[in-house]
Amino acid sequence: MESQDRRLPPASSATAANDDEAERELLRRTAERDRDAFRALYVTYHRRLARFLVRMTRQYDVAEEIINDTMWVVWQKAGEFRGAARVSTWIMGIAYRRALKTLRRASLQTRWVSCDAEVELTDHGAAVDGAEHRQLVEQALAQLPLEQRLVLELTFFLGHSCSEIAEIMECPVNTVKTRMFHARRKLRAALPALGGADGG
Amino acid sequence: MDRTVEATSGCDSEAARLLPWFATGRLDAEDATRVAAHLAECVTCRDDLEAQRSLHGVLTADDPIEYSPQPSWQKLMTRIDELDRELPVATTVVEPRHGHAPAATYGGRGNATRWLVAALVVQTFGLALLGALHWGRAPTDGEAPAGFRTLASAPTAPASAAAVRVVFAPGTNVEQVAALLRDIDARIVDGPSPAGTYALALAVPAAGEADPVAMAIGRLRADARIVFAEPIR
Repeated sequence: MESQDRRLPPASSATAANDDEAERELLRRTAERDRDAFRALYVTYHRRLARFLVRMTRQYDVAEEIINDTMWVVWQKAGEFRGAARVSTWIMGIAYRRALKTLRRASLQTRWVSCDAEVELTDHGAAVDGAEHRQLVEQALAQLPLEQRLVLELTFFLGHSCSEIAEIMECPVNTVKTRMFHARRKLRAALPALGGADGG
Repeated sequence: MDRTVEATSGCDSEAARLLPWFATGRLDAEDATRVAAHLAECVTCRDDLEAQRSLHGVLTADDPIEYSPQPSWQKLMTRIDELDRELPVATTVVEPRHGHAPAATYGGRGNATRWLVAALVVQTFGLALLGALHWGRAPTDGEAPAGFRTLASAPTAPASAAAVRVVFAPGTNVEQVAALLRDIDARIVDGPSPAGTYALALAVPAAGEADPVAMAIGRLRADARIVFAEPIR
């Protein structure tokens, strides 16, 4: 269904604006109870939300429930969207708040709860190239505190600006920058280690 | 050398902190100009920018796990269809505060709590109604015992037919529901439905009084404990 859309294009202000324009139109039609438009919006956001929420909750069944709760709100409130933010910022904000609520309720956060804690990742050696690299990056990301991981995800995978991330996560812009700073520093420490663990 | 692992240079300038968004093209023009000017002078940040671009490439690569949207979509459509059947009038549900799920949801871990609250509300008002009937049928020459008061002990105006459909926010307790009903002079006459809605009857207005349904709807929608309020047509 979405094979040709699996790889997101590099984010940029221009593509973000184009995407947003198309999504506003889908949202406008959704407000008129156009199910085809809502389905298009759903398919677009299912993939983004699934990845984002699986990173948050680490459980797809939980993520799926949050996806549908989020899109339920989108269906119900599409007509109230005033366009102050991008559509994606609005939807990701809803998803983020719902996910946090779910995590708190289910105590799923456990060791990720102190999200800005200074946890240093272990350096095990040098980096590797090729297909393994992605896996190593994923391992390093998985060790980051929740908020830092999500700032990376919102920036690089979902293509949000710093101020948009602040809006989604309901925090000051400087907090986003600080989380990014710590995340990058930890990645630098961790990735050569993971790559050199087996002498590879 | 793997550029990704170089993330975070030794440069502590503001421009260095903006590099990830420069790499993704999501800086505004002013910041982008500032970072570009800094990059022309800072070797460390130029290296760091390559690291950011490498990380961007890794994180936007095809995800090895593909989640099909179809099963989830079907579940959501079932939920929406059920609500549409129940509420044929086009309506808007207020986004729940504090991140609560909409009350009119199906499945999910929050349902048990919602049903318990619903059951409690129904039980309370059922008891109140029984009390009212009892008082009406078997009046005594005395008054109600001092210090003993039920919801039915207050005189109530005659109610019209069910006029308003509401969904209470999750966590709304019996006292809050009772206060809300007193505020608009209403009674629960039906519910909860499978979607968690209750039907309310309003007191019959005095001659010349404003439309009680419109007034009640306005007050209910302004209350955070009401997720949804619509007239029954």
